[in-house]
Amino acid sequence: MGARVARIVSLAVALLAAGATGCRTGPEPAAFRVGIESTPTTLDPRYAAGAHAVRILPLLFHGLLKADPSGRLVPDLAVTWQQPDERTHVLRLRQGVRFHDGSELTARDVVATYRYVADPAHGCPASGALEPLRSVEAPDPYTVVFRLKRVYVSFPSLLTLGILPQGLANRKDLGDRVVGTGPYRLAAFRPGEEIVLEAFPEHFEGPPSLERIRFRIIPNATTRLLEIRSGGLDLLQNAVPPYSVRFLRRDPNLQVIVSPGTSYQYIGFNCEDPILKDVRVRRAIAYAVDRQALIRFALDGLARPATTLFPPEHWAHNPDVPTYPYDPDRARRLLDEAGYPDPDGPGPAVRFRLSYKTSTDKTANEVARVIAEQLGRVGIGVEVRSFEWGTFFSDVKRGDFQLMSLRWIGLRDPDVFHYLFHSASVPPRGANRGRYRNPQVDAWIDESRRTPDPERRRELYFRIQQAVARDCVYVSLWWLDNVVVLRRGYTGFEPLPGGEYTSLARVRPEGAP
Amino acid sequence: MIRRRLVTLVPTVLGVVTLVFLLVHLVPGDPVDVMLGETANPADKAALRAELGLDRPLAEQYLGYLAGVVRGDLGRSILYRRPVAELLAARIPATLELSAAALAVALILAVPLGVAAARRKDTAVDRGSLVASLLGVSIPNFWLGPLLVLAFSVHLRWFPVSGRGGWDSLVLPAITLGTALAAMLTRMLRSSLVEVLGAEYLTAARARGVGEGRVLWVHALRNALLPVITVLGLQMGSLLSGAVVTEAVFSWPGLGTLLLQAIHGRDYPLVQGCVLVISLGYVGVNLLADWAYRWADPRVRR
Repeated sequence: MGARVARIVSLAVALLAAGATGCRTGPEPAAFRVGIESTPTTLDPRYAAGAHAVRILPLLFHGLLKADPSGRLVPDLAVTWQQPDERTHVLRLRQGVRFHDGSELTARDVVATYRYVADPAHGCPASGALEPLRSVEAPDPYTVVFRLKRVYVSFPSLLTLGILPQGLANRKDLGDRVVGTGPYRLAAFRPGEEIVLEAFPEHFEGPPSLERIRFRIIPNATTRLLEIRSGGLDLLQNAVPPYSVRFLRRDPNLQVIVSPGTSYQYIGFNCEDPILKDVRVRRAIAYAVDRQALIRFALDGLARPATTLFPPEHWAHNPDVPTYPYDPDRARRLLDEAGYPDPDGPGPAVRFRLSYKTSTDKTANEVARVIAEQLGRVGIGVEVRSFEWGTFFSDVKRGDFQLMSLRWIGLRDPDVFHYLFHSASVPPRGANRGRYRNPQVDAWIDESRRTPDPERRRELYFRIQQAVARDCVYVSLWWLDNVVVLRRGYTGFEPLPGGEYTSLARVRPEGAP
Repeated sequence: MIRRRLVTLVPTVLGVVTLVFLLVHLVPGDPVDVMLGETANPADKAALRAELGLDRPLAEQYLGYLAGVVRGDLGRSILYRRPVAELLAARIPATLELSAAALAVALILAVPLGVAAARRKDTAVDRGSLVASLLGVSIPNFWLGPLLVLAFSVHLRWFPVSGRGGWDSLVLPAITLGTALAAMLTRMLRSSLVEVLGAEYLTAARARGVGEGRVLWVHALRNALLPVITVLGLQMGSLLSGAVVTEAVFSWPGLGTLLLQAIHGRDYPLVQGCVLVISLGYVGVNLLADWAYRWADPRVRR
């Protein structure tokens, strides 16, 4: 009988071993490991649209310009950037910059990349924004001239696109053959699994310190926490749930770096809804939400209460907009005035009912339920409905919602007001999902787009922010903090407002030169 | 019987392909929005929709897809801009590996436990195996996985937390995925073995002087395995769906994680490709179960 058991067990073990032989050997231990939440679908700068790709691309590619930590655009592959007139941009390129394939960067590569992206037939995400581009030319190997059809003040923000060598820029599908001028080159890209980068020794700013960087795709938040606790990861940026920060801080092997962020969370109203089209109701809701309590309990204090889209350090931030501090009595009075008396005071009957749509994200759901409870205290019945992301987002765009909450990540250029609040930007043409229509705001936005003078533009942006806050199009909730968890023993990582991993090129082991 | 099964395979798979095609196109959301982001202007979106063939009537898209499948062309993934077949080929080995290991774990646990419980019916061993099986069936994968990781990876540091590397990375996902199946098989094996052990042909065998070990492991077990094989074949489907959860917990780069991404991104060809492969796997496993049945029960062969 014993022999029989042994035979069965050995058969089972053989089966297990047969299954295991397909495994690859482990990664090189030298790699610096970064956990990311979801897989970039492509690392081709012409097509990359998702946040995760956009954050990794600066390691592989340089653009003509780049954003400095305060969000201002400064030359990158360009050495000078001039505007002889309002519709022409002339950029002189750095000389001696090498692509990962060894060839030298010239103006022809820039022209090829932009011409490909601007052609709507290629389906690149930036093609719409490049519509005002009339031509891009290379009068000599180190000069690029962009000519625009009309004055377009936010055109420079499009000059950050990663440049490909001419031979690849004209090709439709690059697959893994992404070749840039960045400090790292792509060593392996296994979608859904990992992205491995290796240092590019001929980088024009000198070779980076870390030899290899391995981005591991770990969709499950608990798994990411367990990985960094067990030593399986070296860096997590904005990828841990707020509740975990407290115990990560107690881990002697980890350093937690919290810095003010720019991700803006808000409650959006459908301004065409029969109840919500009354600005008094929208204001009442804003007064009824206790942001401080939400930040303290749902986010463990890791956010700053927001008043407008751009945080105080941004040049277009208006410090003087109408605000809605927590005031439930005022909210009740406003609702009474709007013609929705509370049938039974503090009793269970409600003034009216609203639905609040959200995704299935855990924190978003917690926040939604707390807000529903807070609105319940002023007599508004709220039903929280959570949907799979694609369905939720599609409903929001179609205007099939009353209340919803979303977040804007990486807003930099205030020209985004056109996209968010102009009456011409109601979906599908833009992201004015609340169907907000104010002719005065439209006029200011239009004027800002034609105004090259930065001071005058700033004044217009101030007015727009004031009007939007007065009309209570959004309830501004908070700007989320950036939370970086870094293994001790490394130094030099600098969080950027958009969450880009650019500064990984400067990370080095402590004590190293 | 096997031949008849093979013949029914074609309409089954065709039905699945059709159903999935219709379902993914009915779900709200649009791959073009995912690709271009919202900033794109409507003309560009229309151009891309035309390029992807999404502007054609649904029936035409369906027939085009079917024609491709017959030729072995599963189309191109919208998100990844690569052939679907290439993406699937990269993921199938990982899922097969995990499923095979989970099956092995299930058998290693279930056979000794089930046999012990049946032989010592109504003793502490039997009751212990009952409690263990109840726990095994009830504990959800998304809880068991992190619990095992906490114990064996974070504290003891025996195995990696997640990812697919050497054999050690397979252990915890396989146990997580195999536990529920092990529990179910233990109960099945115990009850069918209890029934068989009382049968007259075993008394006859014992009377002929056959040793108790041979009676149990050859004469009894072979008959007791019949219902177990049936259940095993049916349960392979739940193994595959459990793999979706387990793969997510362990960042295992298999079909499950690929399917989830494809659904979130409304990547129609990729969703269809994943479901096609999974349903083929399901049908294939059931064929194997039929074959195993013939081995265990000569009556079926007639």
